[in-house]
Amino acid sequence: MKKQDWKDDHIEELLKQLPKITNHISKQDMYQQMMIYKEQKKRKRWLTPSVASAVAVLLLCILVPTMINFQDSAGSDVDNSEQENQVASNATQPKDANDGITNDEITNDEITNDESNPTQGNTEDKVENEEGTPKGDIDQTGDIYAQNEQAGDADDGNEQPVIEPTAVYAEDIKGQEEVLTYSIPDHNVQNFIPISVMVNKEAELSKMELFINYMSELKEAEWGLGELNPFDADFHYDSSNQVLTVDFHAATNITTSSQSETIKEILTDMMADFNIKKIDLLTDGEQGVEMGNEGFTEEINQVDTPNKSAYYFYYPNEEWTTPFLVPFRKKINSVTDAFAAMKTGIETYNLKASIPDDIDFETEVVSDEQLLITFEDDADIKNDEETLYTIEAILLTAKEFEYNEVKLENTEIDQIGRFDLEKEIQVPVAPNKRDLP
Amino acid sequence: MDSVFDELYTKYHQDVFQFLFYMVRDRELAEDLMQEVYIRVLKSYDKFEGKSSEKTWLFSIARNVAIDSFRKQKGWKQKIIEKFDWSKQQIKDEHPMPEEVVMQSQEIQMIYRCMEKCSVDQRTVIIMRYIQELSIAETAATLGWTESKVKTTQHRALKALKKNMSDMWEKEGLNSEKTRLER
Repeated sequence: MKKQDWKDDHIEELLKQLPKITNHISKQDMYQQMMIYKEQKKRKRWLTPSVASAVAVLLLCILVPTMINFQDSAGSDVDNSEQENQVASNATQPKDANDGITNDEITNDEITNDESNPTQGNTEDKVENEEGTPKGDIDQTGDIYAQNEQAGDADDGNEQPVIEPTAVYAEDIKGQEEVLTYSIPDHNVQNFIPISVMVNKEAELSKMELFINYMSELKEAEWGLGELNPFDADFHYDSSNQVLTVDFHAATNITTSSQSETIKEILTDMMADFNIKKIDLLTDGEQGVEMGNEGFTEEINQVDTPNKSAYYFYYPNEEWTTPFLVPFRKKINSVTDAFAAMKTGIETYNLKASIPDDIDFETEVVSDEQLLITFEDDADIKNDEETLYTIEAILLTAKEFEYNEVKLENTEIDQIGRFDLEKEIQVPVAPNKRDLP
Repeated sequence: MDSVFDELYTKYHQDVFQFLFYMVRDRELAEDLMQEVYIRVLKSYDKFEGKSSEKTWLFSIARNVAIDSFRKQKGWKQKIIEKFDWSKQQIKDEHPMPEEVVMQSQEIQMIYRCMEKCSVDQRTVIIMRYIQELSIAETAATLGWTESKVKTTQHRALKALKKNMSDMWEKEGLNSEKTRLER
C-alpha cells in the first residue's frame, strides 16, 4: 500500500470522531465502591509500616544475639574498641542484604553523605572508638531499623526513598538555631564555596559574634576545601559602629596575590552578608597589614553589593559524589540568562554545568516573588540525586535574583526528594549545609 | 449519600470517566481511578476556591490520578525490567481495543492506537482538546500551563500522530488488504 500523507485537519477530524466512552455504573454503586476503596486504603496505609516495623524488629531480634555470640566466640582478649568496630560492621550487613532484594537507592542518602565526606566519616569512627562511647552502637542499630522500614515502603511501590538536598531550607530550622554561611575558598583559590552550618543561638551573642566564634570550628580540610582563615587572624566586631577588626599575627607573611585576593574576597563577602561598614586591618594591634602586591593596607571600606550569580556544581575531586553548589562571580543580567549559562560548565574554574543538556525549560516571571519553570516534554526529570541538585541550583539562582519561590511545571513526577512539585517550592535559606562536630 | 458527590457525579461523571479511559486505555483501571478521583475531590472540596471552574478542577485532579497510576505501573515495570532485561518486549502492554472503537472505521481505530505512542502530555492535550472539547483556555487552566504551551503541545501531538499514522499505514497495509480479501 502506498504511503499516505495525513493532513492536520484530517487528523483533527478523526480525533473528534473517536467514540464516546460511557461508564454504566450507577451513582449508588459508584458511591459504595468508593467508600469500600477508601476503607481499604486506610487499612493499607497502617498495614505497610506495621509489617515493615515488625520485620525490622524480627531482624533485630535475630541479628543482635548472633552478633553478640559472634563476639563472645571471637575471644575475650579483644579490646573494647575493636569490639565496637565489629558491631558497627556487622550492623551494616542487613543493608547489603537489602540491596540485593530491592534497589541500591534505598540507603543512598546515607551512602552519599558518607562518600561525600570520606575523611570526616573515618575520623568520626576513630574518635568514637578511641573514646569507647556506646554512641556508635545505638546509631548503627537505629540505622538498621530505619533502613528496613524504608525497604518495606519501597517494596510497596508507592514510596520512593527520600534523597536529601544539599542546602538549608526553612523547615530545617527548629527555633533556636542560627544559620551561618561562610565563604570558603577551594584549594586553587578560584571559587568561594558558601558553606552553611547551623548553630544554637546564644542570648548574649549577635549573629556576627557567633560567626566569629564558629570560624575555628569549621572542618575545611574534611570538606575538601581550602582554609577560611589561613593566617589565624583574630576577628573582633564592634556592633555599634558596624566595624570589624581583623588582627593578624606579627609573623604573618602575605606574599602572593592569591593570598591577598583570598583575604579580600572573604572579608568583602562578610561585609555584604553582615552589613559591615568598615573593616580595620591590624598587625599585632598596630594599624595596617602588608598584603603582597596590594601593599600596606589599613582598611577595607564598604563595597558594592556583589553581583547576582548563577550557581554551578563544584567537586573538590573525582571521589566526591555530592556537588557543592557554588555561585560564579560574574555579572549576569537576568535569571533566564543565568539558567542558560548554567547549562555549560566553566572549565577554567573547575565548575560543572548544573543543568544537564537533556533538561530544557521555559522561565516565566509570575511576580516579584515567584518564578514559573515549565519543563519541555522530553526533559528528563527523575526523582534522583542529579535532578534534585539541578533543582537546588535553579532555586539558589532564583534566590540570587530575589525570588522567593519557584513553581516547577510539566514534570511527569510530582515529588523530587522532599520537594512536592504540586506546590511552589520555597528557595533555600542558605546553600551547602554541613554539620559541625 | 454525600451531596457533593451526588452533584459531581450527575454533572461530570461521564466526562471524567471518558477522559480517564482515553488516558489509561483500560476500562477497569479507569473505573478504579474514578474512585480515587472522587476520594481526592471530596477530600479537598472545601479547599476548592472557585478560582478555576469546577470542571477544570476535576479534570486536573483526574489527570494527576492518571499520572500517578502511570508512575506506579512504571515502578513495577522498571523493577521487572531490572530483573529480566531481555524480556522488555514481553512487558509491552497492549490493552484490547474497546468495543466502541472496534465498531468504528479503520482510520479511527488507527488513530486510537497511535495515541498510545504519544507522550503523556501530548495525549492529555489531545484528549482534552478533541475528545472532551475543552477550549485552549480551559485546557491551560486544567494543566496549570500557559495557553502558548497548550498550543505548542497540541501542535507537536498532531505532528507525532501524523507520523505514527503514516508508519502504521505502511507497516500494516498488508494486514488490512488481507482482511479486505477475506470479506
